[in-house]
Amino acid sequence: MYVSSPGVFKFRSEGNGITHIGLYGINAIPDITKIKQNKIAIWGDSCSEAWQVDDNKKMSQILTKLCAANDIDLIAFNIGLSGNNTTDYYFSIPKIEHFAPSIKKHYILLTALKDTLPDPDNAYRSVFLSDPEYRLAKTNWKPKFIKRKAILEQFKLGFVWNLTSSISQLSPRFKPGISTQNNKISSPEKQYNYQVAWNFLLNKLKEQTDNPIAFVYCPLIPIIKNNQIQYKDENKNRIALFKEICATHNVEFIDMTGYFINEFKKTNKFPRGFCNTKIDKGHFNETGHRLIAEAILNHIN
Amino acid sequence: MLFTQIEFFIFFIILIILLAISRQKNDQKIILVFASYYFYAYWDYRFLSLIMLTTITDYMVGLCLKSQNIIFYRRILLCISLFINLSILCFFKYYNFFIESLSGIFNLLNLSPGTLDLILPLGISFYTFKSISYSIDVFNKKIEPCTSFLDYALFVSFFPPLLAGPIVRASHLLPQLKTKIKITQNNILQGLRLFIFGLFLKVFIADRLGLFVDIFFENPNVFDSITTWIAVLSYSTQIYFDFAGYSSMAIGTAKMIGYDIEINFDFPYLSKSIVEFWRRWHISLSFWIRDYVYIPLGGNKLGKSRTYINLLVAMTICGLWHGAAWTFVFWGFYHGVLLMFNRIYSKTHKERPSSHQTNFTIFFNWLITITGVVIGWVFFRVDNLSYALVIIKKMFIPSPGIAWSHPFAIFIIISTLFFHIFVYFKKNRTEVLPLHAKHTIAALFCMAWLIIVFHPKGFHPFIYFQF
Repeated sequence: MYVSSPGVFKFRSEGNGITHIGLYGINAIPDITKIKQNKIAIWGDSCSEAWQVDDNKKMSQILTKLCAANDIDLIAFNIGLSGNNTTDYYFSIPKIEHFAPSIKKHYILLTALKDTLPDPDNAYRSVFLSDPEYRLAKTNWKPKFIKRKAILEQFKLGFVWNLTSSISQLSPRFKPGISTQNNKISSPEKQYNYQVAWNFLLNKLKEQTDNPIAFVYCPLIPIIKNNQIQYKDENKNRIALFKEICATHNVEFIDMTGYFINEFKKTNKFPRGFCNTKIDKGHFNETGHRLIAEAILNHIN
Repeated sequence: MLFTQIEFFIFFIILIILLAISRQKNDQKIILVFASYYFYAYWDYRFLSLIMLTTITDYMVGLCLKSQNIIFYRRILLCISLFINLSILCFFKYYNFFIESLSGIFNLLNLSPGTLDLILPLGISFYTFKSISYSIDVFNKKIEPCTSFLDYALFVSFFPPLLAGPIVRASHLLPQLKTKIKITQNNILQGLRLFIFGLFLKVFIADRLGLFVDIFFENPNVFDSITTWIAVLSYSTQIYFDFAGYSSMAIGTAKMIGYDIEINFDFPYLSKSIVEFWRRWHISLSFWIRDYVYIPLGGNKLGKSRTYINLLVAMTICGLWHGAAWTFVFWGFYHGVLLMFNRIYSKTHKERPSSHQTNFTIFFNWLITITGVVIGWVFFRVDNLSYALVIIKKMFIPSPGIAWSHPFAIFIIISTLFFHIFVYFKKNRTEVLPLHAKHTIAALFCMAWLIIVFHPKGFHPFIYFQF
């Protein structure tokens, strides 16, 4: 199981956040094993990792405060790593339940439908395969750089790593070329039997824990597109199917679409995006984290 | 090949070494010509043929003009040069534009000439104008025709200003080609200073502003008035730094080789009139338009009405030169109108020399000028005129919408303003970064570091490459 190294991490290139990473890559909690209270785990990729906002603005911290304010004895924690997909949670849930007992529920942030589909184009640590049959497998992803990077960061030389990493990615061309037009041809979408794939995935997830699981679907809308605010979710039909399949497996489903749109119409604030990158896209900002925390609290209640 | 690519640094180091060890002047020129052709071919070797065609045509025309004194035949020779150069330029740059613009008329005539899938050759507007200016100057006997094909080939293809200017005049560069190149420490340092500064303006400032500006101009309807102002001022800063940055790199590169190219920007945003603006912005182009379009049309010698028409025509052509789109044409026409009004105002109000003007007058004149220029940039940037009207309306009538105060954009706008105030009150502008001052070394080092840290991972073309 790959986790971020403990320490203080300042992130400035999107948003502006300071994250205190504790053991097992859990933000804002130095040692989760020492907390005996009932817990909620919020799984996700970089959206759950949430480097873009300070710890006290992350959804887990807000949810913990809301639970305390509502006399609910629960502590929430985020467990996320950039590039995670649902298969990673399959392998990690038993390990976290071992390190952090008294987990009462798992919430899985679903920010992209592709994280639940087989044969992804880019899978890092584990992958959902369909050939010859549906299965979940770990990859051989063992980047050599992890140890080197960790050593450099220990001596506050992380920038040297960034520099050498950028240089190593250079592939200079010296041969005179032919300019080409920018005619992007998108690759055709892979076709799946979504029902079969999702049934398989949810069955496997349920095998890993006795605790209830809930998906928190976070659509990309509202978004600025074609010179207007777009409220239509292009994944609406597929998400409806996914929600139905979740119900058959007793997996709960929270749809953030209404929360995001209503908040935007009331305050003109997007749940994603930051003023120093794109105002409507990217990772969750303070508004997004707050809305997700409130939605989970409503769900608990 | 771009100045921002690692390949360019390797190419340039090899070039400097070869020039330094070459003993003969002609050997150096051959190396430079081949290097320039390689520089261009790196992008697309097929279009080298166009540069060669331009070179051969105008070299031959120049030689023929040298031996021809009959005005009728001299005019024919000049027409040949203009026809070939402008045909190439118009075909690649404006064919599709005219077909689309005249589609209504074609439909009425039951004609359907289709558009072509053309690639716009990089730098075509720049080297074509460079070569045309040579032919016209030789025709007018302002310069002697170049008798060395090697010199002329180098003049046309000289790589630092090849892709995006400055538009170098033959009278300035050809005499320099007669002397042997000397790679000196002073030239290297002076050139490097200009190059690093230009690269900093492009990579650290212009490219990063572009990320914010692009999103705004694709979606102007959704943002509020304050965001609109920030975006428009950001674009005004982006285009200035992108283009001035490229010019600085081109001039710096030429300097390191040992050639001097005239400056192309002289703090245009300090201008107190639109006339002054065009003496400071893209100086090589504005002087080209003046010398080869405005003055041949009669300039201001044929009466008031004709002067105004000449201004409008010259500036509309200037706008059209920038791109095959009605927004550019409108932008050029708009500046023509501003120049016209400036002329009318100057004739009716005798202005005191600036040394006798009050600070308020100077500030007011500056504010009017900069506002006019900034509004013009809106037309320059948008994809269609309806977007321009939306943006200008939001600039002057408070409108609600999404608020986006991009911190980097605001920082750059304020810093640029303060830098210009500093430069305005400093007596000698060339001493902002004196060569041997300690603060220059520190400033250049900081710029170099920021360039490395923020070096673009993707391809960010110079804005003026599209022209």
